[in-house]
Amino acid sequence: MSDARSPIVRVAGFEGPVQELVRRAHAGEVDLREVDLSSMVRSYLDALGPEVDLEEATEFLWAAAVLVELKSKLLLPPKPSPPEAVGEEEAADLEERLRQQVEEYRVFREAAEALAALEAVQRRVFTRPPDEASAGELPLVGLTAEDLFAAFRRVLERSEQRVEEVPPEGVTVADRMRAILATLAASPQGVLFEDLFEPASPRIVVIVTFLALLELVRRRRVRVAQTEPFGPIRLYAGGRDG
Amino acid sequence: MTEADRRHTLCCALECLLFAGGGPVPLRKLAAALQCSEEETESLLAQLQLDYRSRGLMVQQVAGGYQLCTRPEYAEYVTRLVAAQPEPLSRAALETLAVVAYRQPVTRAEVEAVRGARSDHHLRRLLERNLIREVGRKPGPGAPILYATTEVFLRHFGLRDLSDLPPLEGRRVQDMLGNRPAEESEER
Repeated sequence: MSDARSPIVRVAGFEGPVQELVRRAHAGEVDLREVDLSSMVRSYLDALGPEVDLEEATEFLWAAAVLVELKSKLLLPPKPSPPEAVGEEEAADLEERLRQQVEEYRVFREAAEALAALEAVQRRVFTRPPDEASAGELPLVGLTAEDLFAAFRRVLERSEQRVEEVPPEGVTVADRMRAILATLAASPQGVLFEDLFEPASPRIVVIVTFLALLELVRRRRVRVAQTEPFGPIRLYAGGRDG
Repeated sequence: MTEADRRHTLCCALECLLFAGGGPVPLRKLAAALQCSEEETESLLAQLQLDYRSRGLMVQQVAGGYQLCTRPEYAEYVTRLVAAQPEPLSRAALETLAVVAYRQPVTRAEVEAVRGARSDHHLRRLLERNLIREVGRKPGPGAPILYATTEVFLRHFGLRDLSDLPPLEGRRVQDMLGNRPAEESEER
């Protein structure tokens, strides 16, 4: 847009195209604090005839907006520093810490990308399944999942006769899985199913322990065997994890 | 039996051990089964790796052992026969896992401080997939749980051990790892 279309304005200390006023204000040659922008706008609007040159009006509107913004920056106090009035040194320190954190995160994001690349290759590599004959089957020998569940119900009924109590600490499946593995690792000859559950265990512990056992069976870290019908169910540390 | 015959026999036996082992077998166990030194076993492994150059299988050093496995370039054929590997990890899960891997043992709060985002969900998923495990509690207020990576983690990414992790900004991984707690007996 050329200055030819730029409306002429008349304000304190300046008369000419509004564009020129903007340029001078930017350059600091005109002190906008001394310029009455509202009366400048009012006289422009008053001078507008019935035929409005949209280009020119836009030009004026844009210039007026820039002038208002510039003036407001001059009048308003500088941007307040954070309310807690952080000392300059402290602010620099905070900035440095933020910068470090962003940098640290960036490093780990790159590490994650490197891991993703390794994963993509390794996903295409297959090993022989640990035990082909039983692959896809649960390591239950001589009994079915129903037999195991029946044994669980017997243990549960035993615990049911006890007064309910809240376990002192939240008991989790992960905790119980670890406990079972530790028990089995210490007993290569196997552990009786019933012995997995302490007689004094609250019901919730019995249930969570059973869930943990099922999870371990699913992951093939525990084998369950019953050598004769209705005989004792024994648990053994299973083969590979994963 | 000539020396060449003996070596050939041991090399074939080694191939059998790796096949029967399925997953990674530690060098120590291979040497014990072959009844020869670890040095000789390593040399036999190198020979086997050479022999397999033009085959579909390869010998990979992973998770503190050696395993016989398929070459990645034939994955399309293999997945037509057996189930594909589990889904790859999400970006956020990989980030979480990266922090655990390079900073272990590490607490959830420490992971979140690096990521600047809640990570409990991802930690739980990584625990479920056995990629990380709880290794104890950090002394101090609240005694938060400490997490570390597992052997499954090494296998998942085809890493020999933790020092095999990709270098972080050129820094050696060993220098970044905290004191690792002693391995628990439950991990094999």
